[in-house]
Amino acid sequence: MQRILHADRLTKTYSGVQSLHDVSITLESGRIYGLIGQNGAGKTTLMRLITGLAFPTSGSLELFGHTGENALQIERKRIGAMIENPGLVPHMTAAENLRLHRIMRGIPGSDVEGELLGLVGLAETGKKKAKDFSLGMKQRLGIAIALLGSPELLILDEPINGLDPLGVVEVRNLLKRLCEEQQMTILISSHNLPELYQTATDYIIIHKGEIMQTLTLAQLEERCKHHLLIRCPQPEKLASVLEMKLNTKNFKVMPDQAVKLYDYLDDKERVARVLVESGIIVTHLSSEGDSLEDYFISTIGGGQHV
Amino acid sequence: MYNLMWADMFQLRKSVMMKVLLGITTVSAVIMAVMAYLIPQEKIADSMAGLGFMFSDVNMTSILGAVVASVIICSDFDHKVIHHAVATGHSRGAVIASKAAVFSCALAVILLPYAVITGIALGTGSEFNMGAVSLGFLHLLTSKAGAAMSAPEVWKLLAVMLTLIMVYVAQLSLCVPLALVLRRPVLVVAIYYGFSILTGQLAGLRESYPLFDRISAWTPYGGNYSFLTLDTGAGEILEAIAVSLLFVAAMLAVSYGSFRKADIK
Repeated sequence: MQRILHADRLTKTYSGVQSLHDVSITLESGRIYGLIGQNGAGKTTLMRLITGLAFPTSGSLELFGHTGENALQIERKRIGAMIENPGLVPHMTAAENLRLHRIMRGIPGSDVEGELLGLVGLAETGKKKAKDFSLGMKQRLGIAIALLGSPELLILDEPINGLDPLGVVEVRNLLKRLCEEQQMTILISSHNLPELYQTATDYIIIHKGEIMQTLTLAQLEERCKHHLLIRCPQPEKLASVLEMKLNTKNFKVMPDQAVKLYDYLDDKERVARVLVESGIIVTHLSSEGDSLEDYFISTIGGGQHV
Repeated sequence: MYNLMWADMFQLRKSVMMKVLLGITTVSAVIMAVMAYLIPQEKIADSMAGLGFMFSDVNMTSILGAVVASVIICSDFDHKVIHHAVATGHSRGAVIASKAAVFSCALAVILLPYAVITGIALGTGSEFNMGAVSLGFLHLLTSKAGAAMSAPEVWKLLAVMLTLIMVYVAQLSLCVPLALVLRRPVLVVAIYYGFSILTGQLAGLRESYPLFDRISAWTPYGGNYSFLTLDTGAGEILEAIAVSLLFVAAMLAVSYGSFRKADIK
């Protein structure tokens, strides 16, 4: 898989306040990265550094295998971006806004304007000016502008803000399709974690300017998987009882000695009875399972941040 | 840069504000010429000269020129057009060069009514006078009073007009770094208008302080660059062009220095 972007210890300081601290991430082609963080966590700052709207205080950035300011500027021609909110000229129609950016990017032929407007569901806006658009329509147009020229890296900051439920599904399907069909790499930030869970293939959790964790969807599902959480003073004995008496190897002994059992989710009583009969002192037995939201909250330090 | 310029031109063509500004300068140019015609005819009082000056090119451009800079540069920050340009691989130098080029074209367009009206008025062979206060196209209009023009004079008139437009563009090129740094239309317009008043006042010091006169002559605000007429020699016209180009280059360098590493918010 081709490495599209690599950030190495990126740090950004604004007036003495560190917005990003030693951020290192790698993005590979054909994946959708969900950037998750609270307001002020540094999501937009990271996107601004990638797109050259701001310069890092320290650290380096590599785009499509190239580093150095001049090379990065050239490689940014392969990027499409919508950061913070869609930049639209209010007195222009959707088609005119698209044409402005098409001309700016040197893309020949006006056919692409109609295609993109159709793709984001704005084909029928006609002479309506962008200033009269709803927030959702502006978001759609912003996405269309970002998609001009079929970028290899698409950066979208809160793209589903203001979209109606149908619009959210449409954007989700569109992003997935672009990723699958064109091997487009997408970096997307959103506060809508359930939606991000359905869209992204990888997750980057950022908190207070630092990357807390990067994980794939498979890893996330593994960590969020529903299980019975069992705590006892003798985890080794517990493991052997689970294998011998409950005939399962579908469990994990965690570093904190807790055991996650992925079988018998609907038969907690039987598990409890077998463990007690085997002389295991169970100090905790509960059904657990995280959503992305729960997982994010636990990763950034629990309920104190909520 | 070529693409950026075309995009800016496209945007300008769609701009209602530019059409309004062009309308204002057209009406002002007509009023200026009519008043300069009526004063020597004694159909309106000499005391109206001050009001007539208000509609002259030098006064209108000191306000509207900065507005044009705001439309072309500050608005693009608001609408994130500059953000898109940078994020999609255009160099900041190219952004500045494109903005400066389109800004110059836009200034030429809003000054065009003054050039056309002045040309037509001079072609009538009538006498025009706005009292002592005259600069730029108004000065050109009032300095060639009551005489028909020969064919070579028409070509000279065109050269003088183009040079005057270039001087104005150079003077207003100060707005490019202002707009790139301040990014607030109201600040750009206010600061440039204040600066133009200041340079007007400082011009009065030129006779008393020869050194100041020599220094200001290196800028488009000094010398006799706003007093070009059909009697101005080719050397003076070339000097005005050279000073203007140098000043524009200096302003572009200042713009690049201030914008090269600036965060775009």
